[in-house]
Amino acid sequence: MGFSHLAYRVFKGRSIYNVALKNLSWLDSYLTYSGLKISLRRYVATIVFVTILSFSLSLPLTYVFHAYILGINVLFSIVASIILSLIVSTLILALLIYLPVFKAKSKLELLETRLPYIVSYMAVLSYAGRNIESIIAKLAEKGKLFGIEELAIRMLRRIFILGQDTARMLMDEARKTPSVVFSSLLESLAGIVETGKGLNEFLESEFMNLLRNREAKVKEVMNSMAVLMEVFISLVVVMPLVLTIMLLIMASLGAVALPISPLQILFLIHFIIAPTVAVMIVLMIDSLVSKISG
Amino acid sequence: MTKPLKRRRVVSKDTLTLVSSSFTALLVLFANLIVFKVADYTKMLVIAGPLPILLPYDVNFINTLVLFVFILVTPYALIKYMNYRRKRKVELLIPIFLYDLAGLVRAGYTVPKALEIESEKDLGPLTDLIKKAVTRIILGENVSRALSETFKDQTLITRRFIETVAEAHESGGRAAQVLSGASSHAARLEAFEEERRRSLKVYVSIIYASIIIFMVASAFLLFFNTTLYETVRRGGGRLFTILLTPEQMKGLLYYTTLFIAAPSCIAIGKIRSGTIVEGVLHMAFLYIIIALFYTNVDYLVSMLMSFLPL
Repeated sequence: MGFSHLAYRVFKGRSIYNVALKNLSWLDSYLTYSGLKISLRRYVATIVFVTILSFSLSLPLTYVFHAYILGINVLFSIVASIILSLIVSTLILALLIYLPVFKAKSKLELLETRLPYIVSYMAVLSYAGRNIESIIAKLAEKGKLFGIEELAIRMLRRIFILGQDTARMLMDEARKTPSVVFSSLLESLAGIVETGKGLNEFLESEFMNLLRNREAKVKEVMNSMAVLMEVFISLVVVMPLVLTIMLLIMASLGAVALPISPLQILFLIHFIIAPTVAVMIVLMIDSLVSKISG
Repeated sequence: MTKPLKRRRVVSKDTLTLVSSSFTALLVLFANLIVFKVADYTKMLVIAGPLPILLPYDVNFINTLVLFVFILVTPYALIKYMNYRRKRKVELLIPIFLYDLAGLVRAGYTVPKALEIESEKDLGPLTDLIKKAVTRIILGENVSRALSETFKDQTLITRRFIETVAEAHESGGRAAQVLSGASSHAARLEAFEEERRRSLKVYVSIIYASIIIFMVASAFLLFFNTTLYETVRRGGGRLFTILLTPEQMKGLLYYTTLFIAAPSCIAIGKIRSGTIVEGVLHMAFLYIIIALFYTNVDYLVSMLMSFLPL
């Protein structure tokens, strides 16, 4: 029995769980696309359970910290530990709510960058005379190459195992997906399934549209890169040099008045701050570049 | 009774390179620091505090560290980068290959026969791969499987387009249409990727320029510090105290340049090819430049000092 199952067993039918489920029902589509293989009900139960657990665990711990380590009086310790535990549990609650949103968004961003390749492959498959169901089956088979395996298998399962109508299934997927581009692609495909015409032409024009979208995205990323480069030069190149000069001058005039040794500040700037900032900017550059590389 | 066959362990070229370069790098470090004693251990900067830090600022010591890093990372990164370049060349040739294949299929050849004809052309590293795939097909393997097995180590983009060849074979009469569609898509996507890479390359030069500016500014800072130090030493500046001697300052700036160059080069690799290995090669190259610069920066400083009437 997993943790989420235990949480669901404990909280099922309780008012706190019902309220949480009612307010967090919007997480359903994000959960589907996040890759977290858990149902909404179980995930909500887990959120409630973990939040309560974190509050009840942090309360005595923070009380011990305030009362015995810091030596504050009982009343203040209780108030402070309640506030601190509330902060901790709120942070955990926010983190758990945001986790599927973050995972789904990063997955969909990756999907959007790969979409021109996916649509190109779909167009080629349609040239080969395949219909939409067969294209989805092929995507499920070769999904690993395009990063769409999970989604294609789900769609295939809904058509061939659950026996759902292809157009309706596509419309439903389009409604659920948080990606606007992917949603419009699925809606158009649903329309084509209903009319039964023009799959080749549509996929060909969609491929061109996606390329144009990516061009716009590249321009957007370029603008962000320009800003990032300015920040990089200011913080990594100019800042250490300017601060070194300042510290040298100040120290040469007498470092006694400074609250911290200038040598320590220099060490901090050159060995900790500058490299850390450089690493942070590299991570930002990496995330920016990955937005436009399929 | 037959003896059970011993399973032979095959060590990959990458692992072998990494192990041998690590061993050589450690050997060089040991030889330089212990046997030849190139570093002067009396040159230690003590940074007082709750946790005192001892920082060796001798240029020879830092040069040894640079040499250690250079020997450690360069061979492995070079092999990985050469491998990446080969894969990238294959990727660039895919649109041409698909276009040629479409032409042959349109002329009436079957996909396996068209592949056989294509294997006789000179398509650089792609030719070897096509030959391997053709051999597999001749030996009786399925076209789709032969292609995906042959190209399994190639980039994702190559593998995606190779799938279309198998699809063309399976589609029968529509093969030419499938291949020409795939070739035009591949060409467009490749042109787009190339354009993206070209626009990102500007930032590589910005990073290089910023590191060079940092080094030049460091030289001026050293000059400024040396002047101040000389003034105080000769008793000309009784009002001033010196925080760092010129040699200590040089060591500190040397370390900083190295620390800044490492993540910057990783960024270069990410920007240029989306891989870290290219960045590591840039780092090795920049580290040598930095080492040469700080080993000889004293000449630059003394040249600047000669202009001053001290």
